[in-house]
Amino acid sequence: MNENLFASFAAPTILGLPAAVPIILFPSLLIPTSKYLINNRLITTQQWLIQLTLKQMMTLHNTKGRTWSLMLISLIIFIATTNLLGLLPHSFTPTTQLSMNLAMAIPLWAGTVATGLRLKTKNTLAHLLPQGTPTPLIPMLIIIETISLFIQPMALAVRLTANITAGHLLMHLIGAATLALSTISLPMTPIIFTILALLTILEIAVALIQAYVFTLLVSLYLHDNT
Amino acid sequence: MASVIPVKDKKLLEVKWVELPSWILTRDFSPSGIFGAFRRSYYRYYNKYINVKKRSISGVTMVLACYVLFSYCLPYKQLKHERLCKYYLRGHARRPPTPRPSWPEPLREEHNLDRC
Repeated sequence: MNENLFASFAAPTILGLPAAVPIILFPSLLIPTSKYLINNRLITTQQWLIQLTLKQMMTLHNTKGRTWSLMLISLIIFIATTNLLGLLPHSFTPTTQLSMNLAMAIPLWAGTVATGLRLKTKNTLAHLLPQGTPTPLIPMLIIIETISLFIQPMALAVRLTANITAGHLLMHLIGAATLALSTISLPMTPIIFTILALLTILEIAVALIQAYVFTLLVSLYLHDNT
Repeated sequence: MASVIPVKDKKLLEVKWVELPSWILTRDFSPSGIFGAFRRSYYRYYNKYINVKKRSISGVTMVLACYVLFSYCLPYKQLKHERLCKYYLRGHARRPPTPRPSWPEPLREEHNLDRC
């Protein structure tokens, strides 16, 4: 275990040059495209999964909202593959970097707000005040609703960062504890190792769920605004 | 030494050592040339291991194993301090150097095999 626990989250470099860009582009190699109707198993499986996700996610949108399908499906595929690849030993997960998650969350959220302001201006502004509030509370409530609107992209980004980072940190710590315990008391090691195995299963689930939650929230913001 | 096939069209494994510099000079190192080289290598791997009838998971797992090795090599300088060793030298961990006193240093034990 390194004395600085966060050293494994540092941005990777190859001979001083940042290697983050090739690592971010790597998942695209695992998802090939094809020009044929009937493909090999890899592409067929991937296309089936994508269709499943698409149907599940985009049914609640109207026509205007469905123009965002490509964006949302590529988002969920990117986040899911990046998170799952980050579970491999020693790999770097770009979604642990807050900068990257902010770069994903802010433009998408801003896009939904701008769409709403453009298409349904009155409705979007009316959302800033819940129905049935007593008159004296109105100014305060508008301020609160505006703040909650502006917090949305921050919450999206920080949620993803914190979940993935926390999971990885926990795995590092428990792995180091297993190694250390193997020298101190051998009977305890299988117990800790079982915890590590369960944690890995949890991490796989978290990786997929976080991708889903991110995309779902963006699509909800979109639904409010189209 | 005259070759029957021009040097430019030969594959790398068929080029003789003498012709190697001239072969390298004939390659296309423009951005589109390099991108084309990546694309060719991708499709060579894809068509050999993934786009076949009796496909197995080894096609994808080879790529993932190479990725793991690659990401191990990237921070190697930091990781090398964390190896398990029988004996650890003083100052093996990554710490900024502390100022040493001026008296002579004590003798260090020489354990060449297990040094970290």
